[in-house]
Amino acid sequence: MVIKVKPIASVLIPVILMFFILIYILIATQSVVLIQKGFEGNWKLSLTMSILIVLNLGLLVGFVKMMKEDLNY
Amino acid sequence: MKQVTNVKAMVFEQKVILGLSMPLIALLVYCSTRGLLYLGIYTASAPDRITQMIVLDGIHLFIVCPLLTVAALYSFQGIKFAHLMWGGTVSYLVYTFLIYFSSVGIHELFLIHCIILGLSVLSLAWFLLTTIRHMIVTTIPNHLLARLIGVYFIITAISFYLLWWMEIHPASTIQTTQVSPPSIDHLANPIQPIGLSIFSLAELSQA
Repeated sequence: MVIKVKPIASVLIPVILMFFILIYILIATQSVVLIQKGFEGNWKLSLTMSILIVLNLGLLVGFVKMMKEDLNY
Repeated sequence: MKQVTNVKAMVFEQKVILGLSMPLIALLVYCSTRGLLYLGIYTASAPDRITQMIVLDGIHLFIVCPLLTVAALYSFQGIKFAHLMWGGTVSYLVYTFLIYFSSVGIHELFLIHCIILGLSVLSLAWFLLTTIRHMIVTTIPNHLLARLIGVYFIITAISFYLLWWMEIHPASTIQTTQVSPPSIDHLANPIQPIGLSIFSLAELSQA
């Protein structure tokens, strides 16, 4: 059994996941460096972003494994 | 005959990807290295902004450039997964450089940053065009993971939407300037309108 989806939607799933991984890396790093340099920063934000990075990476790897044949990976 | 034309078209598309990526990577490496080595470039900005820009340069140099290089090279070899990764990376570049321009004053690398943004927008347009032309994936297995990704997109989109709205709403009702980030004189934090108008909606539609 398969889920029928709009073709563009299925293609954009890994693109969006990849995009958010990079954005979360940027936000988490900026937040940590700002705290270290003595500016206003937020540890909770860094922690949340780190969790989201791991979650997104997991989903991306899972998606790629699931679509192995289509993506000739 | 038709198959030969298709192969020729695909080879051309892959060549364009490489042709767009190489100058983009070269300019990114130049700008990031310059930004990291000569800290005086961003003096027109607030101190916390300068720190953010240095971090941005570091991430561009050590994460984005290698990723873009690998994605472009494998995409040139016809690996579809690499093509999607290339699309994700150029989307990130478009987003960060749009915010970059609204956050940093004019400096000596301004023109090069404009070229980088232009190349990134062109790359994203090319990615969408080629993706629409040759759909890589049309069906997804009815797997728990596929549903999980949908739920995850809905949750993150709504969470970020609410988070930004909570910050914007008080400022919009009393008609004052928004105070995030507090140290600069911007009328609005550029991340929020872009996020609210494009990315939350994109995530929701994906889900």
